[in-house]
Amino acid sequence: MSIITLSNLNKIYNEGTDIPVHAVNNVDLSFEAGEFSVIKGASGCGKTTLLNLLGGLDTPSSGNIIIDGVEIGKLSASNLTNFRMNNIGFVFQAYNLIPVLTARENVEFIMHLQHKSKKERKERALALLESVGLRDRADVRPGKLSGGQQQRVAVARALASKPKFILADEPTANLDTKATENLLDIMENLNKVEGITFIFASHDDRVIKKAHRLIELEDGKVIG
Amino acid sequence: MILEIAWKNIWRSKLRSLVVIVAIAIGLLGGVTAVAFMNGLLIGRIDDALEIEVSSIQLHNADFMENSELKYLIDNVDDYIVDIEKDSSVKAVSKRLVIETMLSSNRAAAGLSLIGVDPEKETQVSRLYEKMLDSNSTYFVGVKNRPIIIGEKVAKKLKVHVRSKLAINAVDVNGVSVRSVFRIVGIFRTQNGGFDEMNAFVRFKDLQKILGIEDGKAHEVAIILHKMLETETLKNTLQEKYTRYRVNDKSLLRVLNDSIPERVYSKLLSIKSDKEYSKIEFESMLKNSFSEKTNELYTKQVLTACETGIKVSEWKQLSPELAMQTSWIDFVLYIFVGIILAALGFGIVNTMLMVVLERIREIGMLIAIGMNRRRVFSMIVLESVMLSLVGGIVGLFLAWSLVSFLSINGIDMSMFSDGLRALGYPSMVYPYIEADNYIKVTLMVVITGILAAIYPALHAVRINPSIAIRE
Repeated sequence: MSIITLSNLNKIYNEGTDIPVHAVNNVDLSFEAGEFSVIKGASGCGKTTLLNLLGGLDTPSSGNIIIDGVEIGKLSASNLTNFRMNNIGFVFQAYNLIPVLTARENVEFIMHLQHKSKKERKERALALLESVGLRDRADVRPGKLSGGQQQRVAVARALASKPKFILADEPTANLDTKATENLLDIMENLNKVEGITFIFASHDDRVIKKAHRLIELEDGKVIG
Repeated sequence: MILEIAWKNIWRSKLRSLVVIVAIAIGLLGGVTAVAFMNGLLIGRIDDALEIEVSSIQLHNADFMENSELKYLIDNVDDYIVDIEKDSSVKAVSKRLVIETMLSSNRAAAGLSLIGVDPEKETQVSRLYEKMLDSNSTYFVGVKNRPIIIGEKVAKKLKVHVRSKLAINAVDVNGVSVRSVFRIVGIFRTQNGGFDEMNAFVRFKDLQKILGIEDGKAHEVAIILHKMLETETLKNTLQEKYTRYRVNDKSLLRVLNDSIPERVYSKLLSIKSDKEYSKIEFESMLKNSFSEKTNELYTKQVLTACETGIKVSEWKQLSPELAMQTSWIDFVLYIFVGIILAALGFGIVNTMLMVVLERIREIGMLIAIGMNRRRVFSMIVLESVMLSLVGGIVGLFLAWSLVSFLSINGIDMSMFSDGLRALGYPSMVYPYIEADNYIKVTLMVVITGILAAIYPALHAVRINPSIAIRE
């Protein structure tokens, strides 16, 4: 059953000027629950733009995005923010953890936005940190963690809100080989054991190798 | 958690936050202390003004207030004093005789108010006895026959000293010129040079005898209350009780000057007499004399114009410039602190804008993962308020400590004493500020924090997460 459907999706930057940039060009795609997909392509091919559109962080120039039966283009700004919070997990290239909070507090943060109880927040945050192998680093701030560890905390944070899928934009770009393997093993395991849906945007072969499904982009178009 | 994040965010750039905190603290320390100083100066002035010059409340013959002639006396003054002393808010009461006269030594002369007082009663109402210049000066002690106390400035002007003789030229109740010799027993020096120059004191009984005034009469009754400044209730009670109404030439003249219609004036003219009425009696008479509509429109003005009997005045009326300064001191605090905070507010805007610009990616991430813009706005405002509050609390604590210390030890302004005396202010100032003003200033700091955060917070909520997280 598909949880995401993109139909005739376009994103054009500098529209109406002499040099419009067609970052996403007539894309029709759908994603099934439990997928471990990678959108690959050269730099500038539109991977990140497509991921941003999927995550409701950017608005398409035309076309529809339907997530779990909801056409997100029709949501108001505040409803879209709430929709993201409850349905989509994000893992960014630069980890983007809150530096003044500990690893546990970073994971708890989104649950706080969801008005979860303190007890529930703490228990789930610790369980998630356990699942990414960082239970013993729960009370450490991001500045004291390695890049790989920070990205694992980011994965735990992305899972905290119990999203329908996780979007990961170049999550391994700043990691060394060992940290990358470790992170990918964890994500693969979460996919296999807990059925978490992952959609990656990456040109990293190590990520591509793990993909169950590869979507190749070139100049904004899906070519494979 | 937002509160916790906001608090932790303040300390991300310790140096920058400390600069803002120190700036706010110093600003408030300066502002609050300056206002406390002005307040202390004013309190010193008011204390002396009430305890030496005007007291809390004064009673006079209503006509004496318009024209301080010898004949406008309060009759049966001792009955009034007994009545007033029954009120529990009253600390002490003293009667006085007051005449404008010329004092002359064998070398010079000076015009001033000569006040006859009962020394024993007067010391309970006035602290003038504490203001004697040196050990040679006493408050009516040492000379049995006609002692007089004069101000230092008068003594210099007349070139006299303690035990010198002074002649008084006056006109008695019968219109006869009288001349009498007094001996100086004391020279006083208050903080108000003008008061020292314009007043001299003799014993009530001496002045009464010279002027030929009968027993039971006085020009002035001075009342000091336990709470010196809280005069309004007693003033209104006494005024209600002691005011009488009369239609005579004087009141008719006031009616003419008060844009009351001619027909009302004519009617009042027809009932002119020297008879005095109580308020109820007078209102009843007006009711019978005028139509209901005329009464409705003009009774208040006619009552004011026809007031006679005893005029009760509180210190605010006797010294309106002090009353005005008292009512303005809070306003001065708000203006002072407001200007300081407005200037500091721009510094906070700058700091918070830097905070937002430095954290664009992080704020973008927060919006991306589901933090709505209202919460982002609140977080920035909270950071600004907390930053301002820390500075505010530090500043107010320092100000409170300094003001508390100075309120006990005082600030010696004797190098400016001549100028201060000319204005009636003390040369030793004890800064003071009401406790509730600290709360009000804290609120002003919070408001500054909120206002200063609005622009940076609006900047934060407009961040586009898809662009910000790639920065």
